[in-house]
Amino acid sequence: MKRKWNLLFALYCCSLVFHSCEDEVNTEPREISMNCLDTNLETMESLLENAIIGDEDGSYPEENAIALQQEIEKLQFGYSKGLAGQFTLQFEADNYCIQAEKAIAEFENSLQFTLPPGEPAELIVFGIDGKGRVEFGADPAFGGDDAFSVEAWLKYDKGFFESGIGDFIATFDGSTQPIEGWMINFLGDNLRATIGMGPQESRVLEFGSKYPQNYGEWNHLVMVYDASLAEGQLKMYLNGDLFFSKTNDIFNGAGELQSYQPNTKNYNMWAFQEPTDRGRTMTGYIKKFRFWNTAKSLEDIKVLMNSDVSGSETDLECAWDFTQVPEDDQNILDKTGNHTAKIVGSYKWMPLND
Amino acid sequence: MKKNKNYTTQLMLVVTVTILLMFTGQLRSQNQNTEVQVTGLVEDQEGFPIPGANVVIENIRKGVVTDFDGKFSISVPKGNVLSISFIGMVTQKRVITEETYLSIVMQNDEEVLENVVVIGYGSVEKKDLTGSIETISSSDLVRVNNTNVTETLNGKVSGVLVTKSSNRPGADMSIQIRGMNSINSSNEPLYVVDGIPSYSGLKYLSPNDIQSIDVLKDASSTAIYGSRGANGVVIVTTKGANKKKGLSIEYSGSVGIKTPTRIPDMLGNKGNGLEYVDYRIALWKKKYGDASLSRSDFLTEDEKRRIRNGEYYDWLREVSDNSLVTNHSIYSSGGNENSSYSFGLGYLKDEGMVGKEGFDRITANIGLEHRFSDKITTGLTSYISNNNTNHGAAETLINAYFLPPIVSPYDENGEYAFIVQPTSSKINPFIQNENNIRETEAFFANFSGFVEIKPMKGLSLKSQLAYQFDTDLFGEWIGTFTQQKSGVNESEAYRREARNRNLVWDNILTYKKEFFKDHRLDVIGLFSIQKDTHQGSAMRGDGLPYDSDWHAIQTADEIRDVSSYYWESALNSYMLRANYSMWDKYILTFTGRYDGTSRLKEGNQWGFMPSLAFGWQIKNERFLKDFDAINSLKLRISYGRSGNNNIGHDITWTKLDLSRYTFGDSGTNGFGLGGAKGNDDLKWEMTSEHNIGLDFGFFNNRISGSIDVYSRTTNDLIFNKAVGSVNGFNSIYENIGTTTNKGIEIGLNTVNISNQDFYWKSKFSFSLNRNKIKDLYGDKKDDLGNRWFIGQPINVIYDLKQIGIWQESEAEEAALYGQSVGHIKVEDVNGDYNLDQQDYQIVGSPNPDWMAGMVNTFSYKNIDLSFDMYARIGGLYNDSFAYTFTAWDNEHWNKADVNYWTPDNQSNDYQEVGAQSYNTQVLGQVSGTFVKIQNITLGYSLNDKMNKFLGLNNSRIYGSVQNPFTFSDYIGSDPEIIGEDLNTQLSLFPMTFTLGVNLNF
Repeated sequence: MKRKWNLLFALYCCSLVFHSCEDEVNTEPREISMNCLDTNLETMESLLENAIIGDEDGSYPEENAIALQQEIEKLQFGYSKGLAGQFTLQFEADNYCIQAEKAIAEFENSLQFTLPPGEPAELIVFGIDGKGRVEFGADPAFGGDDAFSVEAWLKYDKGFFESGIGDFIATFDGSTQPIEGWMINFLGDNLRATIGMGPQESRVLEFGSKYPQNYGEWNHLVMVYDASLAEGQLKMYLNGDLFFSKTNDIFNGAGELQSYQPNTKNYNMWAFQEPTDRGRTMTGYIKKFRFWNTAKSLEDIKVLMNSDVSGSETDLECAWDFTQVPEDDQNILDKTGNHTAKIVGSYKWMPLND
Repeated sequence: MKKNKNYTTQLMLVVTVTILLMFTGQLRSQNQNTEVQVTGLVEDQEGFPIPGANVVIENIRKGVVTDFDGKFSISVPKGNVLSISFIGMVTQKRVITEETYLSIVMQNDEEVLENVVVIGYGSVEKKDLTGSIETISSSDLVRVNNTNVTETLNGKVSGVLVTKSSNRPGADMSIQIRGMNSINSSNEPLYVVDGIPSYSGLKYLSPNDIQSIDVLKDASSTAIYGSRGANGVVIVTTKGANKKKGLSIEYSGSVGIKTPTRIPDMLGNKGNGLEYVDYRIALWKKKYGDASLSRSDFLTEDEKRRIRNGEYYDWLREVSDNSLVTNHSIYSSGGNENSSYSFGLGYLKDEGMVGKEGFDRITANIGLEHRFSDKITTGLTSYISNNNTNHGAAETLINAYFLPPIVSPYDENGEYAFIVQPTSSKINPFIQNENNIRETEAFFANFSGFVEIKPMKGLSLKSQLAYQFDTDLFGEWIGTFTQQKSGVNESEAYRREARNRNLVWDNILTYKKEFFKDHRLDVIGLFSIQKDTHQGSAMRGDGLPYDSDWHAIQTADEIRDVSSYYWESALNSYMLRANYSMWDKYILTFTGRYDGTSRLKEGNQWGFMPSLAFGWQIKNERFLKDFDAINSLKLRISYGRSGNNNIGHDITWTKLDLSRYTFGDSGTNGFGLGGAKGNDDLKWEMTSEHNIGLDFGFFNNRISGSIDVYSRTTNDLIFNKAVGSVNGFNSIYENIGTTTNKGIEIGLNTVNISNQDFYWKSKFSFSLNRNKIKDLYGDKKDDLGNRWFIGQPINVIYDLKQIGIWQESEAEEAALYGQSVGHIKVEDVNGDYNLDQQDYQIVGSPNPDWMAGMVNTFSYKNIDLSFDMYARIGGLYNDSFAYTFTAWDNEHWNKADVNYWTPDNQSNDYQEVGAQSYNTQVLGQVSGTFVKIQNITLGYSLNDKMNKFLGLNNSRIYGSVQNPFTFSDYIGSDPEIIGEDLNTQLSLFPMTFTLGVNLNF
């Protein structure tokens, strides 16, 4: 009898035991590599040592030299922390290296040279960290309506955006509800089109596709919105081909299809920095920019990418060519004569290579 | 003249039957021996007389029934066998050679009880059954010990699919029998508890109070419930309705410990927080770039400190806890010659594993029966159940899933903090638990009383009046410090109540007649009227001045969403069922029910639902008589029609909709035409079904079972058909559309080993159902908007189909789709390199391909062991859990630990972390396949000596484990609740260790 009870108890305990098995946890400390800190420190010190500091062409501005010196000190501080064993994970060391590499690039970009007005050139705007942008002015017309097209030529290099969304051109307001306006932007691997939808709050129609990685080459982009279509209302064309097409599938809880909400709160239209969420930035070159009040077809786009505009086209709201150094960077009239742009912050007119 | 007519009828009957007997060679000469007088007394084991027992001379089928005192007297030809039988007891036989007095003590026969099937308004022995009906016995219900008896049907009854909404205590469950018939109306079967029909489900019943559950599946069986039988019928007979004689007290008690099992594997759980940190780094780098890791919101200083110190918090394991399930039930029955009674009390307390979740149920049942004579009996049955459910807070568990292990619930003072992650919107689940209350108080009561008169042998007139009442009061309080109110918005309270009443008057005429040799006629006629009323109200208050719970809504700053309703419906019914059995070989059952409902308009209110079934006991044919290996073999063929009355009471109405208009500071109500036009011509959705079944028993019934094949068609589906906006209406309800369900069901019982000390038996069930839409709007065209497709199941997943993950070798092809390596790869159906709705396809259906269940029972001397398995194979489900926790790449929240693509681990299952892949919705498409060991029970029954010493008749102690093993690829907790609402129903899967006793005094 006693054996029977023992058996019962043993079986019951077994079932409890198998349940309590747990996976092993790896708590071993990790090794942190300091190599990149070493390398960058050496590069930065060498740059500063060999640079000509001054106001003339071929020299670096003093303020950039000071900034680089500050970054060297930060890197040295990080190096000390690493040696003191204060880094738990590799990313903490890497963060110092990334910052150092950025400081090196910024310093190198600050090398001064001046092109005269009217000289054919390319415009690069250092938008990362909000240091530079192109402001196209503020106008309700920029928000578009049921049909519009945004056309631009863009060129960028590796690392052209960081830390989240990299905004190229936008008149967009997500700070209040409903979300309004439009934005051509980058996130992760994708080149995207984002438009505010409503009246429901916090809704956007958004789609993207892997951005072209032809660094250093121009790309012709056109974002087209056409509410009259049954599907594929939002499209993006790249270099004369359909890049992606997105059907409006934004419904509210009651099953009602939401519609595009033109920007009515902040009429600013900027390039390389989003007008309301100014953390959305990127660095790149812009050649031409046009905003059309109609939805351009693929055929239209194929023609447009190989032709110029006069400014008198009926459906053209605005158009700028950044193909030569302007007389006044703070007052660049568009081809329609109705709008004025200015370039703000850190940018440079670069001589044409060919 | 009348006398002549009677003679003529009798003569024709005799001639007909004689011819039939001659044709089959069954005519045998009767024994003309000398008769002797036999008298006797029939009693049960407790010594109580049994009135109504059959005392029959076997050869000549002549017999009497025992009187009120259990006595009988009969003349028997010498040498004949006298058979004494009573339903539920072992038949006894005596060879009569002389005049004698017999004292017969009848024994209860569990097997006999198992062979009795409740068919609605009566019962039959299995051998006379022509329909497809399966029974779950009391012992099965008690053995598996589920708090909700509905769950017990899964795997025990073929063709039945139980869907659980959640594993929270007191959660609702729904049943589908043989698939979905209706697209827009309910597919829930009719529940008949002690003769009272309702749609209230079984949640309020204690398994200890149930004598049996009979599931009527085919239309020939359900036709007896006419317009309510299309989705099948679940008949519950409580112990209170079956009165036993003699004093008996039964006690069942158990205590169980519930512990969460199969806790989903989230990144960094079980103290392995660095796993999560690695993920966070990979996500941010990929999504926002390497530089983003220096942002202040990448990791807060507190988070960095915890990583440095290895302080990780396992939210799911901390927010959940072990809990207790306590169950007590006492049942007593007794009586004397004139009266018998039964009385039961039950208490269940099922504590939840998260927060305040819990369910408690108090049940009471009373059965009284008084026999004025052997001709008049009256009785009363009542079942009362009080259920309190604490649903637990909404959003607690989902927050525990989202919050990463590098976040702590405590502030610097060691108190619970409200905001635990400044960079995220998710609040502390422990605070949520305290400030969100969601409760339901429900009360169910069934009362029925009857008078039964037996004016002559075989004839019974029974009139039963039944009243069912249930209330449901739901309340919710959402405090300021909740996820919903973000710690800043004012608190909110909500209250909703519903009352349902159901009055049923059934008048049943039963006539049983045995005539000639082996001819039995069993006729039931019914006249029934039913009226049900439904009323309820609701209100919501914003801005309560203090923590008033969900009461005192009048103190709110604003009271809104005030509503109330009342509606009623009625049903009149006439029903006739005739079961004719000839020579124990041929059985013919005809059922016809004529229902009239108030839910439809005049002209369509009445409908006739007939069924016809034929049974052939092949074993009793001469050519199989000598095959000892075959013990029973019966073929069943049936056809029937039944309707679906579970439709809106106002579905035929054209209604005015209420609108509120504001004028300045005040408002007024206005009424305008609603969007849908009523249709006076609406009829019931009608289901017709063919069923062929084979019941068998081989090798001394060591192998027995049944196979059923069915084909069911539902016509006249009620659709809200869109019409051109004419006269202000956008749609109109119409009877259009047809669905079909075809399937196979197998039930198999085997006695694998049976010797003196050791016994092993198995019970296996299998079912397969194929559901299809045959037509929708009469034009055989698909309805793309509603995702209804001709030739496909009613519910399908119509979407892009994942075919893997883009691999490095496919980078160029991926780029053609604008996608990257590590993104989700879906099928480009039309090959246009543009993934849009043109590439949508039917990727699956949330219906299992097949289901199977198996129960194995072993006994060795006084020890018994059983385990229950349940398998659901196939089916594709859209699951919010799988989607949310694998597809979302929120930079601050946690994610499931699954096989994500990395350059070093080129998985084909899940996209690269932070890759911003499109078409992530396909990750919510999960297989429904699982195999479960539902229950393992080990019991020990005390021997007679020990029982006697303790003053007991029987006693058993047992230990059981529920949900010990689940085999499934599902990444959530329980594959049986795929698709649960993440905010309000998300639950953990309990494994329960129970110790219990069954005592009989």
